[in-house]
Amino acid sequence: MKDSFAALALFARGLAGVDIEVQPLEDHAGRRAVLAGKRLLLPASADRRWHRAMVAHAVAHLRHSRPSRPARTLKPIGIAIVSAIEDARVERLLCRDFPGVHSWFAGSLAPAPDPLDLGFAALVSRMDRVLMLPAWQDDNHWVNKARRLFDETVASAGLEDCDAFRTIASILANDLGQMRVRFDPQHYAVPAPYRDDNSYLWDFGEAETPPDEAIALQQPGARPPAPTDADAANQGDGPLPEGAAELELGRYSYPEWDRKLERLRPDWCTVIEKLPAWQGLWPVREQQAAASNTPERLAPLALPRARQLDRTHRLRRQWEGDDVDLNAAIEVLVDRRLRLRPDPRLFMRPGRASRPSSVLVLLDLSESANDPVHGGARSLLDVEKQAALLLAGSNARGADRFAIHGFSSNTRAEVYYYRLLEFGRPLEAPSRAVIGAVRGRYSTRIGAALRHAASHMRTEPSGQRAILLVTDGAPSDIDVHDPEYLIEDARMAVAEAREAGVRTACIAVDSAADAYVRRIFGWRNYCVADDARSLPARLARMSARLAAAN
Amino acid sequence: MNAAVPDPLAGYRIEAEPFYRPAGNEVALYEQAYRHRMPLILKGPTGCGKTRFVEHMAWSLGRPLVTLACNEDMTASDLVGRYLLDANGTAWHDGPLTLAVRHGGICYLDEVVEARQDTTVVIHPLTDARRILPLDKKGELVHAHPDFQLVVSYNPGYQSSAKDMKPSTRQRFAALEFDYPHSGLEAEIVAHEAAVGLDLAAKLVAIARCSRELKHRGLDEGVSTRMLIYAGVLIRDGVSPRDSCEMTMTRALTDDPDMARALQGFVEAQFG
Repeated sequence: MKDSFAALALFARGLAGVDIEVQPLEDHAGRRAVLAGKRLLLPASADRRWHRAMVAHAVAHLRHSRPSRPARTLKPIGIAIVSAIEDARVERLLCRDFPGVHSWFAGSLAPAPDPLDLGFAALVSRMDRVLMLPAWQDDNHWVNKARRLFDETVASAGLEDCDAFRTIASILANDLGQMRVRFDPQHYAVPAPYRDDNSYLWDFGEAETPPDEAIALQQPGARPPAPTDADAANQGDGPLPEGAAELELGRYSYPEWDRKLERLRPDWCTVIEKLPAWQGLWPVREQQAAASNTPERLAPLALPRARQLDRTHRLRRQWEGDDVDLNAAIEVLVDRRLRLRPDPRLFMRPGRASRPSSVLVLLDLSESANDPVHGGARSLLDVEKQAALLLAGSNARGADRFAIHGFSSNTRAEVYYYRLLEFGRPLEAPSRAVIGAVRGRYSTRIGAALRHAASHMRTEPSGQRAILLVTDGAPSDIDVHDPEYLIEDARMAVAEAREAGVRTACIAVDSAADAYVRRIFGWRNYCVADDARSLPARLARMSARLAAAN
Repeated sequence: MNAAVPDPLAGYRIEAEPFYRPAGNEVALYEQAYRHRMPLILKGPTGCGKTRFVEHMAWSLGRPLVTLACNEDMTASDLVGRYLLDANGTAWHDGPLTLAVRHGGICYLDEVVEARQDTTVVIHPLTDARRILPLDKKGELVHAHPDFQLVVSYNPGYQSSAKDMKPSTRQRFAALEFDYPHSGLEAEIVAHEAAVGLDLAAKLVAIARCSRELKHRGLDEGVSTRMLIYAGVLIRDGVSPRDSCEMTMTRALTDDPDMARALQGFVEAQFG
């Protein structure tokens, strides 16, 4: 049985009290955990028991070890022994706070080596064993000396004093030198397989290259054609009337969250609001043709409505209520005088009315949405559009306000945003044509689009305001190389929207979406449609849930 | 009090001393606030002892405590009272707030933000210098009894901004901030309340500490002191620590499988 890496990250966070990134390590890279800064890489193939022991050991370092101490003055053998003693020390400290982890460590130690093996790795492994298991007996003098020195130091200096332990480590390393135990740094690995390589502890003085955070704005070719350029329209293959161009409606600046700096970079993204190129009414006819060809005919969606108290609407003759319904009370008194059985329903209370809800469906219009669905002729974008139109159609009958917007991005300087169907507009042929005309291009910068969508929601009547994002993949853009960056930014955008009273939910058409979508939108606020064909039904269910929620 | 007149708040009096272990100077501060009958907000996470604190203070001040758990469907008449029909016609029945105002109790509105904002405005004239409660349906103006005090509790942690106190309501109150007590004290409280050993209580507290690190990382709130007491009670009764923690903490706190795994990890890190 395995825990997901998300669960391990939460587990590590709880034990260590600081955020730790837990990531899988590909198997060819070794079967040992690597702790670098606050990043823990774990071999993906190990099982739950190993993962827990590895996380606990890394947490022990994070809680109790001093990271990156200069290693210059120490010989390799000294580094190995100091590391081994440090491992034992921090594990003991962790076991003091979390008694249950002892059994994880004890059960994951290297198997007891052959007592006749007096090589360096075998001796260290035996030392690990006696320091971990108080009842374990070993007949080697050096191993027993290690145990004695360790216990004496615990008694005299306490476990927190890492300098005292470093002193005994030097003594032990010196002894090994005198015993002429050969140490081969090239082939030595820490014997206990759950322990990391201890690179966390040392600073070997190598010049570190700072992570590349440069935004590749200067790259030639990274810029799209100018928004008014007719090239944009040429990417499609539909019949284009002359002069079809996307009309730019306005430019807006939004901040973006930088997860490394842990702050918002002000005015970082430019959202360009546009109208898709007008292509006449042909896409409507095409849509209708496509819809009639689809084998799965979609039933109109019946959506439940959100309700709330409405004082203008009073329910009379109730069993319970705030006020006595005077007419009913008079009848009760009359009935009593006539010795009839009075009707006990004599109260009034305010009724419930449906509350205004505004739902904005935000479509991901990135290049990848043009991929055909399961080998069919229709693209994912077509399914997205069809589902959104269906939802709009079912909402049009009710009083809910509904809008369909879409976005794509090409670097932070150009996040395109299309208002395909505005709030309060009827879903008529021109809107259908506009929706049909919009194409999938470029990338997915979710955060900026969400911020812009949330700013549109601000003008909607307060009540239920929700944004429903339909996407087919993780946020990405060509000027961002850190896969976590846009995910974290989108997560912040969702949090900002929530603070402004706008709920956000997501439907991801990507079976691998679980990992990032939940991080961005939170538990319950997303669903993963493995199959694009289930999208319309899921969209309806999600929007119903959003409308019904508080 | 005149023995001939039955005490309308007799049912609200607290006879036995409720157990409360102060974490700071909150008892002294409350007593000072009560001397001036200052309205109070008790803020803090779920299950950290806000209600117990106000019970303890009501007991030590010898005042009856009228507690009302607020909810979204609560109306102003649920607080102040309403007309009901009896044999002679309609008769006014005081609501719990009016009872406390008339007869000098401490009225405690638990989770006050859960009530709708238009309901909470009825407390406005009570919580300033006027100290009056107009019963508009009855046409009566109730002047608060000199011993009356209003206390509300509120958990700033998990409410969305859609549910927040109006600034005009907030400004009428002085506030005491509560949090989970520090480890040693919390272990003592758990040991006392669940009647378990201090070392077991300390282990439970350590689990709670880990879970509280996950606040805003998938948990709205970590394991509360109350949950620890539940877990301790079950363990005392012979349920295995793993099962009782699973039941009272992990499953109670989350539905998310990853989060449940992490919480189970914390339990196993203590109990093996």
